[in-house]
Amino acid sequence: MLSVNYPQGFRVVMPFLWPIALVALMLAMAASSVRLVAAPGFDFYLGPLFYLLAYRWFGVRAGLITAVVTMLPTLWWWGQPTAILFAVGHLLAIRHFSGEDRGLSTLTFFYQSAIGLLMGLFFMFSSHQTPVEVAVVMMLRRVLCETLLAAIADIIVLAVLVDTSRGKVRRARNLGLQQILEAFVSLAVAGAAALFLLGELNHVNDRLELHQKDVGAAVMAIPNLRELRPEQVYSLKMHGVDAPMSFVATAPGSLGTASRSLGCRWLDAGQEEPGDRDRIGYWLNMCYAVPVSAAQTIIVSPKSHVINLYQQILRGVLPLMAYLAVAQIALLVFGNAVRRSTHVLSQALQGFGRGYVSTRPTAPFREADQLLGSFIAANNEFVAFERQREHLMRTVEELRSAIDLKLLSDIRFDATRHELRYAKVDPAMGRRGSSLAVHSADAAHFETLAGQNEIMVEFRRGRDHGDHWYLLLARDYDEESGSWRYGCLIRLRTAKAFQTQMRHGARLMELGGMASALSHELRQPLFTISLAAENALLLLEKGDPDPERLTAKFGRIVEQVARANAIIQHTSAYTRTERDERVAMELGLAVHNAVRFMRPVMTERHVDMQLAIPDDLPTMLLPKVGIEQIIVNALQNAADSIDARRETEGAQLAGLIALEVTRADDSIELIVRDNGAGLDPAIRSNAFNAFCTTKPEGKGTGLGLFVCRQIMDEVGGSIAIVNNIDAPGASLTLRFPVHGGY
Amino acid sequence: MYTPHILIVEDDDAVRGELVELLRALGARVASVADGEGAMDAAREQSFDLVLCDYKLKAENGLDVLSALSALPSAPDPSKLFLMSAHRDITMSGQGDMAATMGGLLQKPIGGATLRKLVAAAVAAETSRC
Repeated sequence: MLSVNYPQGFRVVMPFLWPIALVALMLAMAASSVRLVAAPGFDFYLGPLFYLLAYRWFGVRAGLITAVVTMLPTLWWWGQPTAILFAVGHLLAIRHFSGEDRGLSTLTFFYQSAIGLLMGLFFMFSSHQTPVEVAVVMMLRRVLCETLLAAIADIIVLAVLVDTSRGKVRRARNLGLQQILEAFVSLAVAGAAALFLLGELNHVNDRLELHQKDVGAAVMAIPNLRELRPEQVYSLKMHGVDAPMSFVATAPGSLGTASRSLGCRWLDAGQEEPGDRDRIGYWLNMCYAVPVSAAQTIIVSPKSHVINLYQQILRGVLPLMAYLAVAQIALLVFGNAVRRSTHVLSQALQGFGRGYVSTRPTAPFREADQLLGSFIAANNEFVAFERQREHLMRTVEELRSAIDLKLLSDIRFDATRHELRYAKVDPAMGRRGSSLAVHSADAAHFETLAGQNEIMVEFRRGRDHGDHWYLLLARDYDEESGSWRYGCLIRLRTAKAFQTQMRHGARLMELGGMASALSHELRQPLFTISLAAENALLLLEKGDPDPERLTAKFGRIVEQVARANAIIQHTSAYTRTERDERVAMELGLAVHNAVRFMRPVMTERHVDMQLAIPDDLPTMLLPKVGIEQIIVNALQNAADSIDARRETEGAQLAGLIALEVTRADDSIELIVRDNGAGLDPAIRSNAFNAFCTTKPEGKGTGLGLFVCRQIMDEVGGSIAIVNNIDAPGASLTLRFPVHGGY
Repeated sequence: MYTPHILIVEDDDAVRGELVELLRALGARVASVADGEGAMDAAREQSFDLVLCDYKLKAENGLDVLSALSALPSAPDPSKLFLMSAHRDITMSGQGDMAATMGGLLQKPIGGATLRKLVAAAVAAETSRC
C-alpha cells in the first residue's frame, strides 16, 4: 500500500490509482502537444478532466493544484496566464454553486458561457485583433469542449467512489437519477456539438490548403495581369468563393512591403509545409505568394475568405449551441423539481407519525405526488391509531391510579393490633409480606367476618384521620390458619381534599343549569311587575284613580323588585365558595389539582393538556378552592372552544391546552392557551361581564369568567383573555402579585 | 259587545291577582284558580272562551292540566288553550298531541299588548260565529 501524506492536509492511500493517473496525464500531455485541429491542445481538451476529477475526489486544494499544473503549458503557448485563470475561476465557481449536488457539466456550461465568453472576447479584441466570427467560434469550442469533459468527469465521479480516509476505490452501487441524467444529456448534446465543430474546423484547414492551389490558377487567369500597377490593391473574385479577396502585384524584391500593405505576417508560396497550417491564426495572418514571372509576384490575402468560412461554421453550430443551452436550462429546472420532490418526500418520511397532516405540499412529479399522497394517508391513519392508543393508555392509567388495585394472598386480620396482614402478589416482584393498619372504627366489623368464605368489606386506613377508604375482597377462608387464601385490595378515591375539589368543580359545572333556573326565577317577578304597571296605567287612564288601588299597585311593584333582588342575592352567594379561606400555597399545586381533576373529562373529550411549571415558585396566600375553580373553568372554556372549532373543521382536530406558569419580578403568571376557535371579537370587550356567553342556551351561564374576575380582583391580581396571534385559539392569562402578603 | 270568559290557572298569587285585574280592565270576565283541580272544577261548571295556564304549577305540569281540560265535554276548542311559561328552553315540538293542537305558548313576561290581542281575538271569534 502506498501512503502519501500531503502538506495540504489530505491523505491519499491508493495502490493503483496514482500511477494510472500519472500515466494518463503524461499520455494526455504528449498527445495534446501535437496540435489538434488548429489549437494548442491540452488546455482545451484534457486539462479540465484532470482538475475536475481531482476536485471531486480530493477537494478544492487538490483541484486547484492540478488546474495550475495542467494549465501551465499554456503560458508557453499563449504567452499569458489567461487559461490558468480560467481554470482556477472554473473550479471556484463550481465549488460555489455545487451546494445542492449539481453536476459539473451544467455548472461548467454556464460558467464557460458567461464568464469565459466575456473574458475570452475581451482578450481576443484587445491583444490579437481577431475577427469577431473567429473569436466566437473559438469561444464556443471552449464551451463545448469543457462541458463535454465535465460531463465525462461527472460520469466517472458517479461511477467511481474514492474513499480518501481509508484509501479505497470502489464502484458506486446506486447512482443519483438526476446527476446521471444531467451528465448523459450534457455528454450527448455537448459531445455532438463539439464533434461537429471540431470536424468543421478541421475541414476548414483542408479547404484552405486546397483553396491555395485554386488561387494560383485564378491569378494566372487574370486577363490583363501584366498591366497591373504595383502597390495597387485589387480585388479578386473567384468562382465558388463568396468573398472577394484583395491582392497586389509586386516585384519579387519588394515582397515584404507589399505583403505588409495587405496586413500579412507570413507569405506562403505553397511549396514547403509550415507546421502552422493547422492553426486558425495562421490562415488569418498569411498571404499567398503566386510568382507570375521573374519580375512579378501576385500576393493574395485570403482573410476575407477565411472569415467567410468561419461565418458558415458559426451558422452551423449556433443552433446546436441553442439546443445545448435549452437542454441545460431544462436540466436545471428538472434537477430542481427532482430535489423538491425528494425534499417533500423526505420531509414526509421524517415526520411520519408525528401528527396529522392536513395541508400537504405538492411534489412536482406526478409519481412522487401520488407516493406522497398515499404516504400521508398512511401517516394519518397511523396517527389516528396512535392517538386512540394513547387515549386508551391514559384512560387505563387513570383507572389504575384511581382504583389502585393490589392482588393479595394469605389475608388475615390481626385483631389485637388492628392490622390487616397479607402477602402482596406482584407479577414483577413476586410475593412480599405486607400489612395495613385498619381504623379503629372499622376494626370491630372485621372481627365479625372471621369464618366467612367470601367477604367484601369497606374500611378506612388507621392513623391518618380516616381519609383513605379501601375495599377488600377475599375468599377461600382457611380455618386452620384463620386467613383467606386470596383476594384483592382496592384503594377508593375518597380522600377529603379530593371530595372538596369534586364538590366545587361540580358546582361550577352546575352553573349552566343554575343560570337557567335563575332566569326562570327572575321572569316571574318581572311578569308581575309588568302586569301591575299595566294595571296602574289603566287606572290612571280612566281619569279617576283610586289612590288606595294605585298605592297597592306600586306596593306590588316594590315588593316584586325586592323578590327579584333576593333571588339574585341568593344566587351570588351560591356561586361563591362559602368559606374559602386563604392558605399559603404554591400556584403550581393548584394547577396540578385542577388538571388532575379535569384529566378524565379531557381524555374523554380528546383534549391533551400540557404543563410547564417551574419548580421554584414561591408560596402565596390564596383562596385555594377559588383559584382551582378559575383553572377548572378556564379548562372547560378551552375545551368548549376546541369543540366549537371541531364543529367547523372536523372532529379529527387534535385538541391541546397548554398551561404555563412563568415568574416575573413582581408577579407570577399562569397562561392557559388553547387551540380552539378563539374569541369572537364582538364579545371580547364584555367577556368578563355576567351572563355573557357564546355557548348554546342551557350550556353556559356566562357567569364563569365573571366569577373568575371577582376572585382575581379579591387577590389583587388580574385576568385577561386574548386570541393567539400566531395560531388559532385563545390564551387566558392570570396574573398574581408576589409582593406584600395578604 | 260580547264579553269573553277567561280562565286563569296560575300558582303565584301576585301574578294571578294582577293578571285577573288587567284582563277585567280589558273587558273580560275572568275566573282564576291556583291548580289543576280548581281548573277542572271551574271548567265543569262554566264554559270559557280562553284558558291561560301556567306551565310550572306547584304540583303539576300545565300541559297535563290543559290535556285533562280538553277532554271535558264543555271544553273550549283546543286552539283557545294557552300555556304560560318563564322557561326559555321549553318548546312545543315533541310535547305530544296536546301541544300540537293547542293555541300556543306565551313566554313570560307576557306584555299587555299580547293580552289585549288575545281578548280581542276571543271577541272577534264569538262575533263571527253569531
